[in-house]
Amino acid sequence: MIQILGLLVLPLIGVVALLVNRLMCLGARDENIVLYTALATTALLFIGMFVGFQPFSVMLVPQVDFAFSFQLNGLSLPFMLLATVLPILGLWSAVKEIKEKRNLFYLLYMLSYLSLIAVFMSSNLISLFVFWEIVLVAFFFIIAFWGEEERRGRASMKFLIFTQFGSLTMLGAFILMFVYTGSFNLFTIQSLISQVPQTISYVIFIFILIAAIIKMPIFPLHSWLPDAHVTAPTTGSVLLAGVLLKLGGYIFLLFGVTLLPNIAHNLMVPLILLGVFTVIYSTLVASAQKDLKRLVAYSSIFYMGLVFIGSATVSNAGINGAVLLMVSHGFIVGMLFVLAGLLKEKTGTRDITKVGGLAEKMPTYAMFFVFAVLATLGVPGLSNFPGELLVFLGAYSVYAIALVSLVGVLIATNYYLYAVKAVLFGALKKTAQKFSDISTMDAVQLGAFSVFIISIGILPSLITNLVGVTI
Amino acid sequence: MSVLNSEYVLIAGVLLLIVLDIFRNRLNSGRKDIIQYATLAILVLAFAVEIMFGDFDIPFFSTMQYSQFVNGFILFLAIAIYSFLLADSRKHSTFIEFLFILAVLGAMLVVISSNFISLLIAIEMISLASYGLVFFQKSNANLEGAMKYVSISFLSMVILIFGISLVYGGTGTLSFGATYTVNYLPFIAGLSLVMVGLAFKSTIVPFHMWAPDVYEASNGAVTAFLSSISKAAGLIAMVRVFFFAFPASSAFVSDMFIILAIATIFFATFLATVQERIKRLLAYSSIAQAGFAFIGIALLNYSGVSAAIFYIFSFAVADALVFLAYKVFEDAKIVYKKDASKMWAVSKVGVVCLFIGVLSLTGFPPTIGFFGKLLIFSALLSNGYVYLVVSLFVILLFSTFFYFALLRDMNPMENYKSNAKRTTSIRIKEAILIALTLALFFGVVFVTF
Repeated sequence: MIQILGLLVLPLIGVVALLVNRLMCLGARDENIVLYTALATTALLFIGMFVGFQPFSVMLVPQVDFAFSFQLNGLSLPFMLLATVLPILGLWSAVKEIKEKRNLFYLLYMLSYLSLIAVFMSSNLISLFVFWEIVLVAFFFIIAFWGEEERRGRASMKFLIFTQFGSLTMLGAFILMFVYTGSFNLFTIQSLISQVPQTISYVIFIFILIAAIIKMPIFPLHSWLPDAHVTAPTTGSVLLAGVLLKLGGYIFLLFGVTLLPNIAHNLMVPLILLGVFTVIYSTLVASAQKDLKRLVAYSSIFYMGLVFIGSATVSNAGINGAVLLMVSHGFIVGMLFVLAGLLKEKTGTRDITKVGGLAEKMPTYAMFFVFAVLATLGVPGLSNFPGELLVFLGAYSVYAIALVSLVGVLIATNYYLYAVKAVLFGALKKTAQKFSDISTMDAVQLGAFSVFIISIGILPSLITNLVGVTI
Repeated sequence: MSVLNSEYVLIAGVLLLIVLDIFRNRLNSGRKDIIQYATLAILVLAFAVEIMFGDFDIPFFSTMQYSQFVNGFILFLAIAIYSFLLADSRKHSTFIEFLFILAVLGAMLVVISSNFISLLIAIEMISLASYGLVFFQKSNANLEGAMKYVSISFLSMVILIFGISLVYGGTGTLSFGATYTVNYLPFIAGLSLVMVGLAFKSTIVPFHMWAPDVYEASNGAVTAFLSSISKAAGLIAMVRVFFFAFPASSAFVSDMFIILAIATIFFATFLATVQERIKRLLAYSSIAQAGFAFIGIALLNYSGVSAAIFYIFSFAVADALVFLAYKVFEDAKIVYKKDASKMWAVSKVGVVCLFIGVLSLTGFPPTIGFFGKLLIFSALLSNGYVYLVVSLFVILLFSTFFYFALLRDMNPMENYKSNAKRTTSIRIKEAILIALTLALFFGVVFVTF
């Protein structure tokens, strides 16, 4: 058994090391501190997956039942895997991209790394909320300070206002749970949830639903996401799409579907229809995008729509599929954002109509690009396929109209293949003569993403075995 | 040891200061140091006494279970604000010392008064001392602020006295002790007038209009006093009157108060979003905070009032912190929001403290601002006000918007060299700011449901 607190102490050491490095002018490279502490955390997580974690709890404010208590629930591990590994994979983009105030950037990066892990393993709702908000503030400043010059002001504020509204409704749901069960502890609430009156359960469910819809994001409240993605630096986008969106799915699965399955069951049809509409809508919007990053952003709304459908089916297949799809999408969308960042770095633009024929000049880049697109389209053997399959199986078994979302997959195939054709094939533009292929480090970074995508694709049980939730 | 009481310490302290001042004039020494250090010592002594021997019954005034906590934090803030004032400038007249102690004494008497006359006297003590404090540097701006404050305050005092006389007509007594069930129209009108009179002090909309002007015209430390201790006293006076003296708890009164509170939060938040000057922005935000505390009082039950008392504590500390921190930057001529990125060059510690203070005002965890809002929301939800909570969420988004717009403008990217020298004075100020910032985290031990 490993003490679960170790997963927080190691990143905390990183934070302190970054501060000491800055204040005492030690001159160590900030990205190395981040890399080593994050690697150590990942190693600890992998060891812990085999030998088990020992829960930790310390009561801070007994009057409001605020404790730092960390204990794994049935959904924690897949998301913790994502939260510990993805920031390491995205780090190389930050090293290239962040030029000023590097120390502050890595400090925020490390803080959000710590907080993201903590959110997924908190078993006290207040401590979950504390870390949730730290992530929010850290990302607000990452977008506001290091985003693209012309629109970072608006995009960061939009991100903050939308997601903060979700946080507040989530807090409202937590307080309602506390009022009726007398505890902020997740496991106590799970055992006492039957005491909550029916109408209040509906209010709790709706509050959690709003938080999830904003964070994931699902149709009416999604408009913060494309702006935030296009504005954020590449690493920010990787984390934003890879882990932050999954916070919404995690919350919805944990407090909506598995805590209040009856209500989720009653609202199943409207929720599934909302998911289907999101899928069709986001794929149609994505078809019209010329900016590669914006295209990937809309297509990640598409995948979160599928996740939402899977969760809303309230079936084991659907939930397993949703979790699997979220983990695999984390890696795939991270890879796509890195590729979009590389396109901007090499050609100076992300507009897919202005480049062409890059496969001739940048063969390694082209290979990874085609690989990522095939993975995201759900080719068997790569990681999206089993997740999508499970989601569709779950949806078919409860509400067959959900299969309309397969049309979304068709449209996604269309625009992704169009992007491949526009960027990689066709005539090489004259301005492209001097382009060089990606560096070895870039290839290593993309290769690392590919390893995870392939291994989850071949052995999806690696992830589904970590899910310990049954309806 | 029942004679040892922090209020007595302050009264004795003022008398001692007067004697000291006479001797100082006799000896013809221009040194004001002794008076200033004596003032600080008196405040610290009162704080120590309050912590060790709080909670005693003395005639005429009676204490409640919360009084030790409230008086404790009032004295803590008073010490912080006064030491900041000393670090800032030592040239002011010794009058300021008397006035400051008297104002703090007034605020403490409000907390324990159990009679309308004593309440009125205590509030007037704060007001009269505050006029002098606003006219601190004797500049034209100070004079303008002080005049505005005096004229509005006199109006509110007259309304308060009129209300009290109507209440007396209805009940025949001015003491808070008895439970009143009077169904007499002038009595109810009197209570509403008392409410209006107290609302001026605690800046509840529509009686808030003096606050931004006066806050802006005053010295930063005085603004911190007005927006934390003085406002807290006004809100506590409301708790005294409407929760302890007249446990009316009728749904109509609750609804009326809630409408006022929502109006306060909404208008102040909306006006804060359009401000360009940082101090005015903070002033409007401080009005909105009072609205949040008032919404807890408006519930008129135990959970609401205890949430309100903790909320008053949390916003008082945070407001004192942001106004004191802003004083450091105000001295460096940073007035508008667009200049906020220059703050880093003036004082890094100040920026971090201002940052945490604003986070607490916004209600971000793990500061006490978050726990204050948690208690308020919890009180509202356990009383069934779900729609009200949702509308508060929406208003909170506006406040998040303007607070974070300010934080974002404090962008550390831009390189700007300040020619302000780092003196001992600024280091002491930073130490005080750090102490208040720590209070924002450790104050959480006082949370109660």
